[in-house]
Amino acid sequence: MAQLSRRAFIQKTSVGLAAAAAVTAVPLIGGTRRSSSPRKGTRSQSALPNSSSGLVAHITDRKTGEIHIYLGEQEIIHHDRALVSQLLSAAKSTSNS
Amino acid sequence: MSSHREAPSISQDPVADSTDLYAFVSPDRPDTITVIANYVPLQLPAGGPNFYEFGDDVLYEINISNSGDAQADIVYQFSFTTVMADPSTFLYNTGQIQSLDSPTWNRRQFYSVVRIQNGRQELLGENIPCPPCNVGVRSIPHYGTLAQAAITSLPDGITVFAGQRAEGFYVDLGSIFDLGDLRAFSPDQIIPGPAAAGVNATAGLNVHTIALQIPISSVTANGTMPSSVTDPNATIGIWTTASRQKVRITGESEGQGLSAGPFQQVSRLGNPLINEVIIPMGQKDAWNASYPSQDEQFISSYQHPELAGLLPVLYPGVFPHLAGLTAARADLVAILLTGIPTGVVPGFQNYTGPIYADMLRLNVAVPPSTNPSIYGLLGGDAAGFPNGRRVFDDVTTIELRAVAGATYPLVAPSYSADPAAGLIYDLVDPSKTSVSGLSTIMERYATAFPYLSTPWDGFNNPATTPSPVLANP
Repeated sequence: MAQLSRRAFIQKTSVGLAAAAAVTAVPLIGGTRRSSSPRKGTRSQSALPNSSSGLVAHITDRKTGEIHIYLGEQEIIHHDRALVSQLLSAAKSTSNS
Repeated sequence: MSSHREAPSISQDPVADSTDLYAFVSPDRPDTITVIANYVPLQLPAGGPNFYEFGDDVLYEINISNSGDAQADIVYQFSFTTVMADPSTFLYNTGQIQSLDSPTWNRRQFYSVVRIQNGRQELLGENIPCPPCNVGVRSIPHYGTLAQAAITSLPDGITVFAGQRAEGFYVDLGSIFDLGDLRAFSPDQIIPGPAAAGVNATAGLNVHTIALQIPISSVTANGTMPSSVTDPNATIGIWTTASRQKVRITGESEGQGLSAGPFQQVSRLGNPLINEVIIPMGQKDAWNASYPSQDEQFISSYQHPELAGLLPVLYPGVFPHLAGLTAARADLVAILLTGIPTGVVPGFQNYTGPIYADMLRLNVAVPPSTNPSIYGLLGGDAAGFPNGRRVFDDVTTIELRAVAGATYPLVAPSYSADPAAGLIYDLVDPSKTSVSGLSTIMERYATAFPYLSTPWDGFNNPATTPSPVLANP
């Protein structure tokens, strides 16, 4: 399984998490699978000074609670139906306000 | 640009659009190879106020396979950063640009080079400057000297350049994509017209180039110069790619956005003209996102190319033998997907093994030609395409003739190619197969690295004269 540590250079990652509190507070349900790029090489973070290191969460399957989390160069597939429900409720309440 | 705007998605993303790949034994340094990967097609030299750049959020890669498995054994990665000196002006340059660090040059690009080999990543160079785009003679009085300073030495005998150059690929785009017309043969076309000389659609245009010159011993599997053309280590496979991170959030201004996730390949290029005219429209985006080692899924397009079926229809009565050729085109599969094995062309092979993969296959044991033919192997010059590809090779005519059946007798000696298969051409008069003859279609090349010439300047191009003009060489 490929790891973030493939990048051999200076790690300048600072994470500004839009949903960090939710990710860390909710117990992992269904397991988390990390997948990284299938290519042989990964890009040095130090070579990407213009890319900020926020986190993006993409709900891909509401029924199974599958969320694709994009952080740095990683794509982490996480399953958490409760978190999905929480995020959708937040989005719905925001759109209704 | 043998592969420019060739797929629906990449046509919307010029900075990630692989346009050409060249690979050849360097004619002036035959212990090295030169690999040239071009991006950002169809650049009008008068490109202000924001002149052309590499993408800061694009990962550009040159991939080399030397172990016969069509996987990348060596990867060179290029990443770019743009620095704006003065955001309060609208100008690209506020005065003359006399050097790569002129304070009057407002928008500069720098890049890093990383090599990945044997599981190791190695930073070969960083903060390497690109030259500016060739704005014009007032802004850059001596562009040639300035660009020369951007040629940089890296460790292990590697030389690198990244920046704007004159487009080296030539093609009559207007006629070819107008129902497959070839102007010289228009009277024979199904919608006939007068015969005319071809029109070079890329004359006077520029492109962005990443060029590497690498010792041959660094790219072969056994780390040595091959002893002969038949040396099993003599042939390497090369392709280029461009990738973007999966997620892109657009910010309110430059630098405010977010890129996240693994890199997703959005463009690739090995042999010229594959995704242009071999791969069908419905598969072009998928082809760009897939790897050469997965190319067996596209083999039917090589075995029965659509263009081979169209030529007899577009030129009635001209290709009767081609019209009757229904067998799988083993010749095209060999030329484009596996390389030509020993015994097919006397004294030549560039076979990489049975895995079908679109790679530019270069047999590094074939020395540079002293009298090159732009028709490459088809013209009896084994130093040219499809043995790698030199900047001046007429790949359009070579592939047209191959598809038209000129190469099928190599695998089926009883087949007699139509005479037209050996006569058709796109742009260059067949009587002029020397490199010097390309000046008639306004193409020019350099005799040293990076072998693509000084870009056309923006003041004079589009040309105010019948031919493109370079006022600040």
